[in-house]
Amino acid sequence: MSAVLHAEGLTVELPGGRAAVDDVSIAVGPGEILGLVGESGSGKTTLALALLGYTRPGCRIVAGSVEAAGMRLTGLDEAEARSHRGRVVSYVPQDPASALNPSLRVGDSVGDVAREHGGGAGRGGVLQALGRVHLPADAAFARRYPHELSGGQQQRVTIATALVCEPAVVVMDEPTTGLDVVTQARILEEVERLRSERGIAVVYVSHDLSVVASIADRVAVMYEGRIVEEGDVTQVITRPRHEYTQRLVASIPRLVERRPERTEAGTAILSVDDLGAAHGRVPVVDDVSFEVERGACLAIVGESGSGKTTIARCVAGLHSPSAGAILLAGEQLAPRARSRTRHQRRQLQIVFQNPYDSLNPRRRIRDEIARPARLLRGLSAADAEAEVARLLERVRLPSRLADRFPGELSGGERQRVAIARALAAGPELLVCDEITSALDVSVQAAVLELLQELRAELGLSLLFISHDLAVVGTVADDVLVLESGRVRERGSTTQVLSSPQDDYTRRLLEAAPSLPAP
Amino acid sequence: MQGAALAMTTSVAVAAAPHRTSFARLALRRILGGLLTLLVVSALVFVGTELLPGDAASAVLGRTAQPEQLAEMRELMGLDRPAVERYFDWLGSVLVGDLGNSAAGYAAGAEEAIWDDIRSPLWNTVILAAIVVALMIPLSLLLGVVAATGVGRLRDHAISLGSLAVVSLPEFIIGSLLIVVFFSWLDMLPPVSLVPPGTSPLERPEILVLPTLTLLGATLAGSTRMVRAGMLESLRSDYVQMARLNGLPERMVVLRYGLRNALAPAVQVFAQNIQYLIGGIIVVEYLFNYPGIGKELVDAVAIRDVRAVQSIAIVIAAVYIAVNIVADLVVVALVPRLRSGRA
Amino acid sequence: MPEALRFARSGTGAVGVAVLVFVLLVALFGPFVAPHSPARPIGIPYEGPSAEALLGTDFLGRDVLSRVLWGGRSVIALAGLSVLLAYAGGLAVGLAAGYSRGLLDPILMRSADVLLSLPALLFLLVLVTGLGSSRTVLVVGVALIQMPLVARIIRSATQTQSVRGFVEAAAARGERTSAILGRELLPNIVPTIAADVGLRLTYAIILVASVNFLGLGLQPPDADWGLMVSENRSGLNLNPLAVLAPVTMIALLTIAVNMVGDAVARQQGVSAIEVGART
Repeated sequence: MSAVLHAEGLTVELPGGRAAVDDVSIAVGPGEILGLVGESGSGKTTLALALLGYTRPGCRIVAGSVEAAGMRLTGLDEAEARSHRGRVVSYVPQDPASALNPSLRVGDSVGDVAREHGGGAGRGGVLQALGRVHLPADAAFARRYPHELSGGQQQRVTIATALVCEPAVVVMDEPTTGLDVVTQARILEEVERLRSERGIAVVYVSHDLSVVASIADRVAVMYEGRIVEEGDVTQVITRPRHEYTQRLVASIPRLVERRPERTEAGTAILSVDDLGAAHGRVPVVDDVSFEVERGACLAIVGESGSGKTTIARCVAGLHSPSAGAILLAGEQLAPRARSRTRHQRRQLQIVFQNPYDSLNPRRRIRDEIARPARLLRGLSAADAEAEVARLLERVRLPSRLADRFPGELSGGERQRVAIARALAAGPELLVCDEITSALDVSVQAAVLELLQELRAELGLSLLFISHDLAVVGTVADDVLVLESGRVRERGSTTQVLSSPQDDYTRRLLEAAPSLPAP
Repeated sequence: MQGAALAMTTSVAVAAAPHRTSFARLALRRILGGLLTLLVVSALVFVGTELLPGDAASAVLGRTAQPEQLAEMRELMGLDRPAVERYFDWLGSVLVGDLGNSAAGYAAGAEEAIWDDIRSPLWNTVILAAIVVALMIPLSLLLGVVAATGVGRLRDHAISLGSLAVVSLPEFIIGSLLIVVFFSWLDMLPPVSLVPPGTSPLERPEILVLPTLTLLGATLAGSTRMVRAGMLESLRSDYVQMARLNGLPERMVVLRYGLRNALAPAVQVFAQNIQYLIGGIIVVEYLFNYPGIGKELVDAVAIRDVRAVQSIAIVIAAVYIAVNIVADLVVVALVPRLRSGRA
Repeated sequence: MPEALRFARSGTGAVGVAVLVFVLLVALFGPFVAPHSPARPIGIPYEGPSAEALLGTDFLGRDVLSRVLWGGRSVIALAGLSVLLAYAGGLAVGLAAGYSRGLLDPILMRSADVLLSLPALLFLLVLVTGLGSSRTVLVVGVALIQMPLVARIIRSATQTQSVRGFVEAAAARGERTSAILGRELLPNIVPTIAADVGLRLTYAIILVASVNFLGLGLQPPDADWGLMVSENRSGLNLNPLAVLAPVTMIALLTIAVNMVGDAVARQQGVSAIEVGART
């Protein structure tokens, strides 16, 4: 079977001279789906672009070649290369919202590409293209602007554009990152249909090995610009040969794990009764009640828009509830953190999702961590300094980082600093709002491990917010499933994840991609 | 792969049909807002001009005036009534189109209606402004796009540095330099732009050249820089990269994907520059002795002709606000996202 | 070279700093080295350059060079003071409006809008009509014109920063509003301010010089560059230097200030669109 896309010795250099893609050779056959897996910084997006012979401004292809359906894509002048792009090989971007021209109607966006590459498509062709990705194939829809579509619809439009000229191969760059699990599942269905109905070859780039596992035939693992392992997808995942692949596979949380059942029921540290909250006039949380027991971890799981972050913010005192009460160790909490007692603010701390945003970029790490200790525990400067050293050690960060600014730290390091900062107040309850969602998988595993250790050492109770069922499975004792602001199901993790009672929970579990058992 | 069970189509949110405020309603709201602003501005102008401890009457008659003469003049000018009453009186007459009589007129012993005084200068100013605007918009679009598409290359450096230098200069500096070059050295153009009363400036177009060049210099530099900045940002966007990845020709990418999305902020910049033009015209008319409304204003301020200053100020403010409104509406017309109701 | 001054190494930055230093030296120390008094005539009007008067004489026969050496202080002092005032007021208003979730923001911004609805020069002329043309009126007037612009920019920056995680973390700690504004927000707004200062100064200088040029600001016999350009226009054919000298100084000043300001803005990475046009 001859390859429909073929890259040989491809090397792409960044402006500084470093190689983002280093001597990469891959091949994809007709109707085949090749997964390309790598974490941030691995060069996978640069490679994805290079497969169309395209580099970002400043980057250059310095060696190697790319061929698709017999046409060369490298070493051509721009005009020639352009004639192949979108026609022989096309691209589906990661963020559809920013990839669609905001001032063009959706039908025109698709039509531009159709007309450019051999026309004859006309209005009919555009509508057909929309219909093929299961979007309404009518003129009214084609007249919409991108901002009038949902995220899933926007992505389907970019896929329709990529398909309108019947390419031989489509390169998809993280097409479902940022979409909720259910929409992601439907997009993946589309991709599978592409292959089975139209025989299109697909290169599916992702950081999420589980997603790739569910859809690809073969997978290539990328690390620091090189392909470190390649082969049949089940083989690579169940019996990884390269050290990096092994690490990657090991850090992926498995969906259903055996958890030791807790024997004694403890007292509740946090008690939420009939909580209601709204954004302006729109209700987002409705009649939610739950308890977090001392020393336990309760996870609240749901899609984006389910209200889970709003609940976390209400508990932390950043959002005023419209109804209900929140009790910490039996005492009712004021809606705003400012009005709570110092003791209460000490007991309850929050860690946020985005590590790149939650530290003041103009303050050194030591001052950032020391602040809660000085403000809430009244420590002197000298005592706080000692505390900072202690905390850095506890979160397994080298003490030399204390003098740095957040900009000099990686995402994982910053998140650890955020945890240290929360611990500096000496809390009993830690609210974790999607704290690993913005991290690479391997870093995520390390942070979760840290969290487990801290729980054991300090007897912390956790309120853990997440959309990722697999992550929840590894850390939580109990789970609350949230949909559109309402509780759909609750129970121990083992019970909810292995035998869900509620319809919605079942759908979530089915939609979540998982790895083949080792 | 799992997913066979995902036959459901109901739970996925399909964006509801968009709610678009009608353009006419938006326009009406803006215009009403503008009128309200004009009202507030009129109060500001009134307060600003009448804060002087002394008064307009003595400014007109001079220091040697006798108390009886002052009292008579005050009564004639209506200054003996309380401020609030004067304000509403003035407002009322402005609305009917009567801008009152100028103090200069009184000083000369006659009642001169301000409106008669400023009608033809207003027209002269409009002509000058229109020419400048008609040239500024296409030129800055052209220069801005040329600079942005050649970023880092010679043509970009030349345009960027040139506009950086010129945008810093006050109009009277640009004008003076042009006069030195075109009159003192080259003797090609007149240093003043006098228009014999009763004639139109268009009859002797050479007098318009230097004032136009001066105002163009001031506004073109600013607009070009902004168009360039907007284009650069637009060309760096994801959707431009996507258009290139789809193999669209570069010219289409620059115009239909790049410029089209840079136009909205560009319109705002043009509006800002047109508003700035209104201020600059005052200085330029004074410099070239061009008989426009700006020069009238300067003359009125020099002799503290309060009534004239107030009335001219209101006319100018009205134009200023109108430009703002038009620009707002053009931006809304260009940016589809602003028309939909907030999701 | 400290990180903050990195802009002075770039092309336009270096040139701008050099020219600015020159102009400031002339303006600040000029009066000490002026050969003649700026007020007394030393010869016939509009004489060309001579050993006595290196740049010739002006329309009253006074030494142009001396008047140029004396004429910079006013514009720089007035412009500088007004920008300081504009920032004092604009910072307070902008921070309060940007951080507030309630009615304070719309109220403050509507008031600012009112001040912005008049062309700047017109506003100044209205004030001069009502209050006369004193230094105080000029400083306060220019400050009032720029204050709403500064407030808008600060408000916008404050709003952007106040939704960032570390500000929320501070709120969750229960920090007082003043602490949040001062410790968390203000240090992160500094780049915006740094990028804006150059434009404000340039604009203030342009306004002050223009009002003086119109004869509605500083009055003769004061030595002021703007005033000098206006006074000596009649003698362009006799002694063009009487106009060219002050014109050159003003041009050098404004271009230098703008170049330095632009270099600082680019160092901060703030795009030109965010900071806004000259207005």
